[in-house]
Amino acid sequence: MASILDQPLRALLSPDQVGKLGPEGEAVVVRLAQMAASVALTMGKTEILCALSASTPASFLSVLAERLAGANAPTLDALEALRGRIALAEAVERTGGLWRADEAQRELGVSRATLQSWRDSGRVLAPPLGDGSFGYPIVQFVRPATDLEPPRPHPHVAAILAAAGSALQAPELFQVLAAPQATLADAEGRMRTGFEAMHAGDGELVAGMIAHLATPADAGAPPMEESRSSPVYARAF
Amino acid sequence: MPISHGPLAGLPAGYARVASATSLERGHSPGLAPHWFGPAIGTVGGNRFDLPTPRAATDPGVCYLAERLLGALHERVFRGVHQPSVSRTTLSAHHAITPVATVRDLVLIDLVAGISVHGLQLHDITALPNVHPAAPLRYPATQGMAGAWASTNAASGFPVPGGRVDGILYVSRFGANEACLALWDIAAPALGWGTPQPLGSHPGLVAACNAIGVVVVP
Repeated sequence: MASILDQPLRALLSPDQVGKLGPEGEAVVVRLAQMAASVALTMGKTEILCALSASTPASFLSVLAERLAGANAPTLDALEALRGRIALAEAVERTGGLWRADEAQRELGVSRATLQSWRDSGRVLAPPLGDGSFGYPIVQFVRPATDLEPPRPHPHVAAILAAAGSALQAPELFQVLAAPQATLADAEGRMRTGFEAMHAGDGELVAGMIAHLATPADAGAPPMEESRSSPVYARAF
Repeated sequence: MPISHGPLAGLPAGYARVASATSLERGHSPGLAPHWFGPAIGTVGGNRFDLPTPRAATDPGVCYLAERLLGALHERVFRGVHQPSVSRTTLSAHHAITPVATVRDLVLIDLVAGISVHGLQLHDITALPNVHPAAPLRYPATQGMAGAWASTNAASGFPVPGGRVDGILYVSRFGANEACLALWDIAAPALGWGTPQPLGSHPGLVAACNAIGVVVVP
């Protein structure tokens, strides 16, 4: 049987892809191929089958990245950060993608200053991306009935962001809203994501769920320094 | 947790005993007293065994504890909401964990093995919170019982030695294997408190989160 690797790389790509790739793009393809080969060499057959059965690019990347990180023994922080970025990428993919700032300005028909104002005032949810910029998940916007008007942030996004306060960072909040939740089940008992419930008219319920998650159960407790010391702890053991 | 139930603990069915020198975990806000029995006077609590009416000065306060870190995470952090990832930074900013030890046996209403004894059904314990902003109570069934239990305790009317119990033993409705305690302030002298630590740097955090499929990020 002829090996796939006996074929030129060009044969593995679509003509459309080949036509659009510039020299830098080609370098990325080669670099990825080299990286994929180094990862594949460290994987057992089961792991390879697991990677190949990934249904989305993000989940495929997740398998490879975990393996790559494990093989290169990164710091715990680096590994956790990598997992976080992958989890965020998977949630973004599931919900229909995101706009980078320039795309958001174009799609929404607003200036950079307006977009920044929406982000700073809590009108849109904008998780930071790995390069320091912000992403704008498309699922939070309402598409107008006609093409004459641009999409706008769903009116309940602001209330949801206000309910979260500082208790959830933007990537955490986005993933909570992108995950099916039992507390948001519809009349038939089907779990819905926060975004699904919001677009179905249950934005108040979603904000209530986030407030429930974010509100400390001991908000009325006195400060630590006013509390009495507890010498009995040491005596108990 | 060294727990014995009903007759095996020398108690009637529906009551449980937690042995002295049992270690527990208390989740609380950083900088706030861990050994606080809430809610504040004059407010309605939003936790599962808080009274359904504004707390009066004569009403007992409640302090919630868990057998393990995972129980504290379920009850304090996740609260029935699926959170795919948690940030250590966020956790440390908003949550702390303090170890607790019992210095005498605790006698508790047993909602693990004796739910029906107390007029409740399993669904009352496991139902998800009502999170709608317009809902008068998040936990109608269990909060509805809290007032009656407090009155019975005040009257020393429970069928246990002395007629009073220290609180309630229950299973987290968010994690079926996690035993938790809601203690009334009658139990305050029975608790010894360790040193609080930020939840994000707890050594058991990753293992506990991994057990329920939650990714820990920096």
